Amino acid sequence: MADTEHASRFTRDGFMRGFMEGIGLLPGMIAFGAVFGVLAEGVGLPVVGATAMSAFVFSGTAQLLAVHSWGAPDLLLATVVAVVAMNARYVLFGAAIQPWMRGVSPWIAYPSLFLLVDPNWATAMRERDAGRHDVAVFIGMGAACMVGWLAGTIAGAGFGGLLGDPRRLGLDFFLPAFFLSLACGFWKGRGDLLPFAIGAAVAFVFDRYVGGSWHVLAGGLAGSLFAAFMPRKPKQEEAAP
Amino acid sequence: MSVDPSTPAGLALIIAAMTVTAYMTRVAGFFLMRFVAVTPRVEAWLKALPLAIMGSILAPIAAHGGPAEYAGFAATIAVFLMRRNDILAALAGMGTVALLRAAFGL
Repeated sequence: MADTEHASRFTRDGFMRGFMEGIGLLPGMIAFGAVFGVLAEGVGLPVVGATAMSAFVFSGTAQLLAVHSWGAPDLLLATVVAVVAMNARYVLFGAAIQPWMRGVSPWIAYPSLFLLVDPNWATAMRERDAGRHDVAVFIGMGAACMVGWLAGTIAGAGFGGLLGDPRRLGLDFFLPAFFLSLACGFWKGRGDLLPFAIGAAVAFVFDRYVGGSWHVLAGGLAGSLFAAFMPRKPKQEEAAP
Repeated sequence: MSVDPSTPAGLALIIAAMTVTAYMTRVAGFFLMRFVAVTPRVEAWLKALPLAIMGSILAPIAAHGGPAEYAGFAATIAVFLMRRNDILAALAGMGTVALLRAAFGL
């Protein structure tokens, strides 16, 4: 597939399509934001501070880890390390999304990457596989996620405790389930098993012995590089065990 | 360098540092790819990235999970195969987990 020979576009319809699809993610984003808001309020962040952090950093796991290390003696370093560890996967996301955005002006591409989060990146990859290259879909979904994230943060930081236990409602399971259904959508055949399984195995080892969220970076690199250096075979041989 | 997060200036400094770092992680890969030609090998690498990353995210969650989470994963896959809808499948998985936790305290 000649992924480089397309014209990436930016349309209003695309933005709306991404935004509407992102609305389905709102309950999960609001719940996640509320969890962060409750924890941020718990360590003494004012509502304005928690909201500003959500608006500018826009990284759930990184913000949770930062708030978790709020008592650290070298807090500035601890929070920066939290962001690097949790967002390391975004370096790979950005690399994967770049060919899809080729042809779009840097004035659109670079600001839109501010909104890069897991769901809209996965959606961009799905659009890429479907041969659609409207960058506005990515931005629209990112905007919807931002709305939910901010609403949840404000609700959590402002009215923390009223929500009850998010775990009891299964809200913590939304994101893993969303990733699993996206993985099902990406699945094209047996050739996909090894990158997925190698990624999973390496991630399992890193999660157990290293910690942080380095497991995503390590597993993602291991599985995908294996696929890149795997000998290319014709289709029928690839299906053989 | 010690920063007091209870002062507005200290909190602003922390948020600014986190913001710059987070944005750097978002654009670094994108920026570097401008200097990489999309050869068949690079294309194979980028194509395999989503599934490798999803496997990496899911493996520790599966490892830490119990019966409720496994049932949730199964429900997610089942609904996805029936309806081919990402969000509906995720909601089904979430609902399954919530029900099992409520019913059995898993």
